[in-house]
Amino acid sequence: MTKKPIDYPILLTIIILVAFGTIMVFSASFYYAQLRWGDRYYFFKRQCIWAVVGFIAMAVTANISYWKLQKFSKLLLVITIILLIAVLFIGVERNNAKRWLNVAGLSIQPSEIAKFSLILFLAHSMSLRRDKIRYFFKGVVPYLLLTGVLFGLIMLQPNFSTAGSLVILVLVMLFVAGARIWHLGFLGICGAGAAGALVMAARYRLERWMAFLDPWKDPIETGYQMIQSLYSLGAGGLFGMGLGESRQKYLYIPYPETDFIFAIIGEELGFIGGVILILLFVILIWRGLKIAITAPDLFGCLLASGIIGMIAIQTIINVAVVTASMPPTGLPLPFVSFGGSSLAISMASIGVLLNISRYAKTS
Amino acid sequence: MTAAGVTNRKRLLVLLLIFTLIFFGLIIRVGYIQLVWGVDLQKKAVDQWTRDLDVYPRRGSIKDRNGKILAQSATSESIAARPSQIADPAKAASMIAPILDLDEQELKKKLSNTSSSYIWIKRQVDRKTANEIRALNIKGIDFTEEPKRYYPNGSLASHVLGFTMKYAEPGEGLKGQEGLELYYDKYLKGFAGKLIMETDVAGREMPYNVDRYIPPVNGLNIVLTIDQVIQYFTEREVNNVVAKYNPKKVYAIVMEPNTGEVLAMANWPNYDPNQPPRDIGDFDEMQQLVKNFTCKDNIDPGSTFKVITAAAALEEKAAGLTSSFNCPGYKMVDGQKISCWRAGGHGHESFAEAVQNSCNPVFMELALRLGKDKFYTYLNEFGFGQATGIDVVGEEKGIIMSKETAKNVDLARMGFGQAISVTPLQLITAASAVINGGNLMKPYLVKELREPVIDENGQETERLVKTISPQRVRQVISSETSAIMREVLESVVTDGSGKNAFIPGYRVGGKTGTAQKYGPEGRIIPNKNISSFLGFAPADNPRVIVLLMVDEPQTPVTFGSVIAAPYVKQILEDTLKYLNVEPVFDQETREKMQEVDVPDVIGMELAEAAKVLKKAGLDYLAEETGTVVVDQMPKPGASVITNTTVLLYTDKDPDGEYSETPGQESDEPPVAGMIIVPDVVGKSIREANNILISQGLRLKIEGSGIAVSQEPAAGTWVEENTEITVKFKLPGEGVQNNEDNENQSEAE
Repeated sequence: MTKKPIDYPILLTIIILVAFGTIMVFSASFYYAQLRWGDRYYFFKRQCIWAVVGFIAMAVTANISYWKLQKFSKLLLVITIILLIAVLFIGVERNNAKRWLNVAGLSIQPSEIAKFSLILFLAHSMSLRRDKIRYFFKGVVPYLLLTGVLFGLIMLQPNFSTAGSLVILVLVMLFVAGARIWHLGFLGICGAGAAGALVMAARYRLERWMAFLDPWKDPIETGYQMIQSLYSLGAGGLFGMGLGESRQKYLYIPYPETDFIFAIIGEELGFIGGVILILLFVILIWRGLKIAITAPDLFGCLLASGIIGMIAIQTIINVAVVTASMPPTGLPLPFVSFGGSSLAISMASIGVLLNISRYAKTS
Repeated sequence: MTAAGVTNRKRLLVLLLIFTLIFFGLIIRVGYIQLVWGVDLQKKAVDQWTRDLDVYPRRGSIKDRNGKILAQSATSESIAARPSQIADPAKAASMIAPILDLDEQELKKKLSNTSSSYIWIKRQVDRKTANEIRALNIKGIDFTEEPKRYYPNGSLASHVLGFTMKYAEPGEGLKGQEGLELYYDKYLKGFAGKLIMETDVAGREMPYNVDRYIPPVNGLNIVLTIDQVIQYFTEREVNNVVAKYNPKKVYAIVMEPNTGEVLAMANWPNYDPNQPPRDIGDFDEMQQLVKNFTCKDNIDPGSTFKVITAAAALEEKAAGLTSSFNCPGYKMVDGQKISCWRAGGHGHESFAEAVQNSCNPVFMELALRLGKDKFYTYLNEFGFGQATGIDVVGEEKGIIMSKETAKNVDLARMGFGQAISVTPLQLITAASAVINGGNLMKPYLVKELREPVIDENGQETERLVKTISPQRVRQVISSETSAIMREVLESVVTDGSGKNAFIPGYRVGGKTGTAQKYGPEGRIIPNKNISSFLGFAPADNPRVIVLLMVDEPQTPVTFGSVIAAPYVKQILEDTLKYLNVEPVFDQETREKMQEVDVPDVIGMELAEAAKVLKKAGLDYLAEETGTVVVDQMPKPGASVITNTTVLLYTDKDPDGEYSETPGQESDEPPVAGMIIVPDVVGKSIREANNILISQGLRLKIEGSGIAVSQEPAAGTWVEENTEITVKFKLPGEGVQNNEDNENQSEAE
């Protein structure tokens, strides 16, 4: 099979996103970094290191034929599950959650690894069992069970947003793989029902979740993050306050360098900056899905779909949370938010995507 | 290798469509938040980022009519710290503490407390000290200017000026609490400026430090109608009255009668507005002390009110200068006998003499002749029962019996200044109308508002913002009537009860008054009077009018002619000279100006002393309780003008006990040689006889036992050798409450 050049628009988009993200991480974090660590470059330096790691990983994966990954899919899944169990015991606790494993001075989130290993496993498995996918019990249920295990383990950390995004990912991949629409619809209704029941079971959880509808009802507690995020965006207006000029990052907004980095971008670069960023993601998703469509085989198609689907899901949830369009939950903005393992693994998966693009069928 | 099927591809396109739609939805959402909702969000965000520090405006000054400062604001600096910005609290404390005389360890503790974002190190320090600290250039130390109010003359005009409260409303600096400080607060206070600083969520100032400064707008200066010098004359005399008679309260007002400008306004007791009497525990008690009584106390005017009755009667032609009256010593009104202050009455008298004598029955007659409708019309026209509109917060209106319920008896009493309450300000304002040609003027304290500005040379100067002109409320009486009244009132000083206010070279008009005080049940309280004098000059063209009212002077002799007139005279004389009103000496004044030395009558029997003084060309007035002169005013050897009244103080009655005198019946100084009837109620026949004989009176006995009543009543003035009828009853017979006793209580 002849190798083509990689998909340069994607590469270019990723370079822009990562470079831009690194700058924004610095802008958003230097004040807190100075106060907390006495080093305004604390987050910036780490993000730079991870970006370099990410580019290396991307270069490596882009040059490994993606078929070869199939061999590792089960092994990777097993390692992931072990890591997910390990993090519950030896993980580093931050903000009341055990999500990080310290490896060689770098903190790694096993749940980030879980995203990629699940995508790889599903793509491999579904491409082998493409005929059974149309059956509910034989086709759909086993994947749901597997996802359920990962979901449960991640929920124990707890990390609801990552766990939830895995469930959506599975549904997306089942959809692309050819599962019956009504099966998925039924699952969607069940999922919504279960989530609803879970939320309704505790009134405080309902209130907390619904706070995004009117954050000013409780501006100190439940509504605080939402209000601060809206202040950031509102202060930005059309053109923004200028790079580095955010005021909200002076400890008003929580997690300005991770979950709420889009709010800081909106504040500093305005609506125009925010739209350009969203359009970069649209380009990325468009090019990514194009790779999936033109992939030479179903495995490549599903793998590309999973990779780009995961990025799309995270981006949508992150922006929706920042704009108070859904209940607040902490998911990073891919390539932009501070977060080493997330960045490196996302870039590694883009490398895989780029590798698939080299085998695209011309159509 | 199996390729992806058509279904997979279709579904991927659907997926692309879904993602794209969601992303465009998010773009719309972001656009809505940033562009539509953003205006409101941005405002709230800015609010949360900024901390305001108020920059106090300078409160306007209060100046007298000649620009002399009566109240002034100065700024003192306060030193504060932001502990989070202080790098080395120990070092900072060791540098600052010695300069400010603070405890170093304590200061270090304060500066180390980073949990508070802003702390005061020391407030109200002078600029020199503040500059010393400033020179240390320690990061995290802040300087704020704070206002302080100074009243350079201390208690002078304290009730007029009032005082301020500190920091009652943040951002407004000082706030007026009393007096003009309160009334003109909105002009004086100015508008606070702001120092806006951006901070992080904990209040730490931002590193880029883009403070914005909105300068404060200083308050306007107000220029009073009060003249500091005349105010000083007035308060000096008020203090003299207080030193001599230890009264409960003193009211004094000096006014320009043609314009309503208040030249001086004094109350006693007063206070120092530099230290307002806030430590008085009771708020009401403090209010009582700090309120401007001259405008806020309703009191019985007494005889000074006769000026109003006389003016109204003349205007309505109810009487004329040629009218003649007869006073038998009382007047029957609707079957009730109301006495004149002079027991035997004044007999035949002209209108002018009636005013000179302050004859009660004549003024009852005048009020009755006017009739209720007209009398009330004049009360209303002269402004009684209404606020004058002076620039004093909470001015009282006086109390007038409702027209519907007023009976003839009430009308008669109002005619001579009883059964009506007025504020001293109302009285002097109405009296001004009587003498200034008939115009009721609105009294006022502030004549100009001026804005402090900096001129091109950087000097502070003022720009006139507003001038308050004299305001005529209405014409009450004709200028002819007014002219007659001036003459009549001048005759009170030349020939009547106001002699003590006579000033050689000036034509002075006036009217005396002594009002009784009433207890809660409407009964007269014995020995508690308000002595007053209303005087003006020059009588032909009044420039100044003065009202002095002395509440409860502690002396048995409470006549306004003695207690108040001499002090009014002093105020008038000093003020006229200060205003460069030249004295005119004509033949008549020269005669009156003959000076005589006051003979020494101390130690003499009262009757003998009277003779000596009469021979020297002097009048006298004595306490009614004693027989031997123990002191005199003026002192022996003093050089006075003929006809001056010498006040004689006598020893106690022979029994050595102070005999209570019932309510003072009059305030009018008698013709020389008149005697005050002593109180013999409760005495035996022999005791009563001794007392009366010692005073030069005769006793007519009715009944036997202990004296239960007497006629004329104690305290009335009678001729020498008058027969005093005393009823005696044996103990156990029961004391008959007789109607005469009631009526005897009527004051003039």
